[in-house]
Formats: sequence, C-alpha cells, structure tokens
Amino acid sequence: MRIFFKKYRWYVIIVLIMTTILVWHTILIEGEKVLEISFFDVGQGDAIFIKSPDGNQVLVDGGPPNGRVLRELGKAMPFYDRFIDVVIATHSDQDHLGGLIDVLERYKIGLVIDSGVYGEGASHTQEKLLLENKKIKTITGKRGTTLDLGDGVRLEILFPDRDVAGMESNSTSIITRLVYKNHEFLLTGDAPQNIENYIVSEGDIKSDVLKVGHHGSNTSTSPIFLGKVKPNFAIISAGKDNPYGHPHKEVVSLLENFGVTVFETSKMGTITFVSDGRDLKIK
Amino acid sequence: MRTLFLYIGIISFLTGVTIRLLFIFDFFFPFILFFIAVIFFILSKKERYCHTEVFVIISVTTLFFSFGIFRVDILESGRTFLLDSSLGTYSEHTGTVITDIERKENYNRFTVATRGEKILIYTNPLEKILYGDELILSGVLRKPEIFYDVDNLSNGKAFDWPQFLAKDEIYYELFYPTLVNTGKGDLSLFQNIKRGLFITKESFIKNVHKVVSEPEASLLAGEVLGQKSSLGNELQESLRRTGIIHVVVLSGYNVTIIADSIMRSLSFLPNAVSLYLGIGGIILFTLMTGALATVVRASIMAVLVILARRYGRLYDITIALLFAGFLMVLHNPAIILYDPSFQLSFLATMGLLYVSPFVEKFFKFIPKKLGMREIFGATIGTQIFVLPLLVYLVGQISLVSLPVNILVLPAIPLTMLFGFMTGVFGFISYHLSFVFGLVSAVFLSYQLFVVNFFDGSYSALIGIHISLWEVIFVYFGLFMYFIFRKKDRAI
Repeated sequence: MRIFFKKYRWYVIIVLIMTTILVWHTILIEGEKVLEISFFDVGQGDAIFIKSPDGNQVLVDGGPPNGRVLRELGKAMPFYDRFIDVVIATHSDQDHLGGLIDVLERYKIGLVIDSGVYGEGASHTQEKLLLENKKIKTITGKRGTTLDLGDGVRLEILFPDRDVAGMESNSTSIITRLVYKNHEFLLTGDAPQNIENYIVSEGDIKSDVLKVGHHGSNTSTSPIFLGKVKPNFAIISAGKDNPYGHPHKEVVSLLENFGVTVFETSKMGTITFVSDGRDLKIK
Repeated sequence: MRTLFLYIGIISFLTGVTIRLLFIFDFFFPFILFFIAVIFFILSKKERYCHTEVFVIISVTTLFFSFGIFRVDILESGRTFLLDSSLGTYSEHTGTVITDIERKENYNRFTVATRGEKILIYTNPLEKILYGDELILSGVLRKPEIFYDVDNLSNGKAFDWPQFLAKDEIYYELFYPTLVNTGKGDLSLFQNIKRGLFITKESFIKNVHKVVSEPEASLLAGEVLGQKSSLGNELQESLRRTGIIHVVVLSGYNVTIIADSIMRSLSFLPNAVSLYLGIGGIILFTLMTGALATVVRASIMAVLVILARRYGRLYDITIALLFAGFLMVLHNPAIILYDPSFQLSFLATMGLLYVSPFVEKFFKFIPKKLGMREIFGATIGTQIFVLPLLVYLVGQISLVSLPVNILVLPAIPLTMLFGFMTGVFGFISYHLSFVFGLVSAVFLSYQLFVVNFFDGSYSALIGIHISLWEVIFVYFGLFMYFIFRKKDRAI
C-alpha cells in the first residue's frame, strides 16, 4: 500500500483536488432558490429554458438543428445533470423542433408536450421515431393544462384549445404563460395575429416579459394583443442577418410605441431573467 | 553512398511532383529528362572521366525528377470531367456515399460517387445518411470556387477550395438537393467493413453524448476521434486563436500520443508486449476513425516514431519516414501541396524526432514527474517545426500558443483514456459510462477554461503573410541540416 502511494502520489493528489473542486462547484451552483428563464441564442429559431426555484427544468423549443441549443444547455445546467423534466415542442417547424431532436437523443426527458400535429419534414419523422424508441411519455398540449413547477411556479397552456390537425403549422403553436408570484412570462411560439387576438378574449394575459411571436415577423404581434399583454420587456429570438429580415421594422417600432424595452438574442446573445417573485433582474 | 542516392532520389521525386503541380510542361518533357538521365548514367561508366560519381548523382536526380513530373501527368490525364455537361442545370444523379458524414453547424457534408465522378453534397443536418447508402439526388450541379475561409474570417486569406477538393478528385458540388435514400448500395467487402466501422463510431459518439454535455462532448469526440465538425464555429475559432486546434484534428501528433500513452501505462509489461499493444492501439484507432486516408498516413508515421523510440537510430528512421512520405506522395501526388493534414503530420513527426530531444536538454529544471519534461519537449519541438507552414496556411501566429499548449497537452492522454472508456462502457452500462464521463468532463472543462482564459485576456494573434517559396526554402534548409548532420545518435 505504501509503495502504491509513493508511486502514484501525484495521481492521488490530483484526484483529490479535482473531487474537492467538484463538490464545491455543485454546492455553489445548486444553492440559489430563484426562478430563471433563459432565451437561448440559437440563431434563427426559438429555445427557452426555465429553471424553477425547486430545480425543475422545462425546455420550450430547441431552435434549428445546429447544435447550439446543446451548448447553451451545457452552460445552463450542471454538467452531471442529464435530466430535463419537461420538453415542449410548440409546433413542427424546423427552427423550433430541429434542435430538439438532439436534446431528445442525448438527455433523459420526463415528459414531452407537443401540438399533436405531425408535419412531413425530416425533423418530424425523427421526433416521432425517437419518442417511440426511447419510450418518452408524450401528451398533446391543451388549454387548461397547468404544470406545477414547485414553489408556486405555474406554467399554463393557453392554446390550442381544440384539435389543430390540418391547420397551418404556425397557427398550431402551443402558447404558454409562466407565472411566479408577481411575475409573468408569455411564450407564443410562432402564433400569428389572429390567434393572438383570439386568446386576448379568453382571459387575463398580462405579462412582464413577452417572447415576441415568430421571431419579430409582421405576421405576429397585433396592437390589440400587445395592449392586453402590456409587457415591460420583449424578447426577439432571431438569427443575425437572417434571410427573412426578422425582426420586421414595423414590429420593433410598434413595441417602442408601447414603451416596451426590446432585447434581441442576435445582439445580446442568451438573455436570462432571474426572479425571486418580487424583483425581476436580467443576468 | 547508397543511402545518399536514396535521399537524392526521393527529394528529386518530391521536387518534381511539386514543380509539376505548380507549372504545366509539355507532355514530352519528362521523357527528354529521362534520356538525359540515361546519357549521364552511360557517361559515368566510361572510365576516362575522373569524377564519375558526379555523373551518377546528376543521373539519379534527373531520373527521379522526371518520374515526379510523369506521376502528376498520369494523375491529370486521368481527369475526365464527365459531368461538365450538367453544370448549372437541374439534373438527377444516382450515386453511393463514399465518405463519412461531416456534421457542420448548418449542414451535413459528404461525397457521393456517381458514374466515375465524385460530387460533394451539402444537406439538411437532420437527414439520416450513412456511408454506403445509395442516393437519388436532384439539384443544380456547381463547380467549387475559391473562397474566403468562413471558419477563419479574421485573417482574410483566400482558401483554394477547388485545389483542396481536387486532391481527392472532387470537381463538383451540389447544395441541398432533394434526395431519396434507397438504403445500402452494392458494396465491396472492404466498403462493408468501413460502413460497419462508421456505424460503430456513431454509436460510440452517441454513448458519449448521453453522459457528457456540450461543448465538452464535442471536444471529447474531437480528441478521441478527430471529429472537429460539431464543435461549433465559435469554439473552433477560439481553439485556432490559441493555437491548440491540432488536438481535435487527426494528425500524426494525435495518433502518436495515443500510442505513447498506451505504451507508458503498460510499461510494467515486457518491452515487446507494450510495443505491440501500442501499435495495436494505433491500428484500432485508425479503424475506429474509419481508416480515412489522412489518418492512415498519420498512423504510419506514428508507428515509425514508436519504432524509432524503441529500437532505431535516428538515421534509419529518417530514411523510413522519408520513404513513407515518398510512397504516400507516389500514391496521391496532390497531397504534397494541397493537403495540410499530410504536411503537418509529416513535419510534426520530424519535429518530434529531431527537435524535441534537443529542446529537452534545455529544460532540465522541469521535473520528469508525469512525463512533464517529455511533453514540454514534444510540444515545443513540434511547434517549432510546424510553425513556418502554419504561418503560411493561416497567415497568423498565435502569441499564446506555447503557454496554452503546455497547460493543455499534459491533460490530453488521460482525457483520451477516460473519454475512450466513456464511449466503450456506454455499450455495457449507462452508469459506468456516466462515471467515466464525469471524470472526462472535469478534464475537458479544465482545457476549455485554459483556452477561454487565454483567448479572452490577450489579443492573441499577429497576422503575417509569407509566400509559398519562402516556406519551401525554409524547410529545404531545415531538412538539409538535419539529414546531412554528421552526428548520428540514438534517441
């Protein structure tokens, strides 16, 4: 034994130092009890990561299949954590679903919520195959479903409230609202103006933070809707110099007219809000 | 005297190939040189001249020089450009995938062989395609164009993409075609084995992905299997700026390190056994990466280094290395000018053999613990030797390259070992793989920390542009110095 230690002294010391760093690292990052919501910079697409004060994690969309959502998750989650509680696929477009394929492949997932509509693209066939192969529990998102993320954090599904099969894919977007004490966050996927105007009539949607629909395209964000949401902050999740010209000028100026502070992932990178229920901060 | 002829012969051949790649001569030029060589050889046999050896040298030089030119002539006469008629129009092509799938951020890339030509295909990253699949592709065929390297915008140096592809005889590109995958095509036994290897590699990487998060997982795949593509542009750029990108590119360096660490960890076994295991490790690694031509070349050089360390005198091994290089260029002449991987492997190996032991002498103050001094020597030796070429290729020198390499490289063998275990145990048990994954992740985060620290703190790059001729001149001088040095010593 003594000879062993003499010979491998350096290796033993290195292993011990590493263990110490690991333990402290764990204690420090798991210590805080706050709600964190990150709008990942994934290029042209959406990917939103929610971490509740109790440590429950929800990923809403995964951006395009460029691997960036994985790197962002690597930063947002501790490196030994391989489990995401809920993954929500708002609709079947590749800039939302594409990156989720990688996530489904690599992480263990508690529950998948999708719109129940399967498109024809490569991303959708793969999602279906993966869900079947890995036997991940899947449900169709419907209005009235609420996820309890612990410590009073609720994730409400506002749309769809009907069978959306056969509808144009953006209109099938799952719309969710995250509520934690004084703060609300509204995530609308790519929902177009008519859907926005529809959910206005269905109940209270006032929110502090709005993820602007369809990456700031002029097909989303109607004035009526904006008047009801009354956000302080708006997030536009789009790629730099994307071929669609997102965000469209009229949307940005509308937001400014409503006195909303606009943040863009293409300019700021990943944007993270931290809330303890009373104060809302940007990390 | 005989080895002198061998050196002269090989060097003349390589010179012939290089010059012929840069200039075009008349078809009869090599034959004229051949006759000159024959005449000098006959003259050398006449006894009335006193310096016959000079005639022999001239004869050998001219002969091999003409061979070099002739070899490239053969290469170029084989080019047919059969698909030129369908350029620029919407057309349909049926072919078999003959390379591994390269995964980039916004596309997947691979080569398809169709009717005697090769096409480079770009597709949606979500298409599931495997080596050996038969595809029906429709799209607009294009010729590759010179471009400013998108991975490396900072230096603004044009990259000769058509020449780079031409070395593998690819003259066409097809962007995002509509494709139908009809499944496995007709493959030879060798291709079937290759397909199996690629599938195994895929599963290996998937195992890693299940337990290690990004960007650590990609770095691991890069270090263990040379898969640099999934790293993402940002990290690749960082690695390049800090001069450490070579750890994720398959090169002689990468391969030598694996073999070296296998042998060191098995040093309690008899010498011969650890030697065979080391070489066995290299072969396994080569197979795991799918026996790409670049890896095969790097592996051959790595085996030579191992043999040199064990038995050889520097003198023998130089001949062996030069001869190996000669055979590789004979097989595909274009690599000498247009394949940075071949050039860097060759030079790194030379550096490891010649400069490293020389450098180690100056660093006696570094303890031998954990092989630190050797790693230090190897780092500096190879860096010095590849520097002129690297500067030519990327037009920059990284100022932090040396400290970053010294801090990162010692962690590589263990990272590779644990990373390999992570992938292999993934086939058996998730939890076992998870534990190895954790250990690898710690090593990998350390490396990323070092890279980010140096990348962020200093303006790491200086732009320098030197011409190809200057590079050739520098290396010619270096080779002459080392080859004709009088002292012959054991390593």
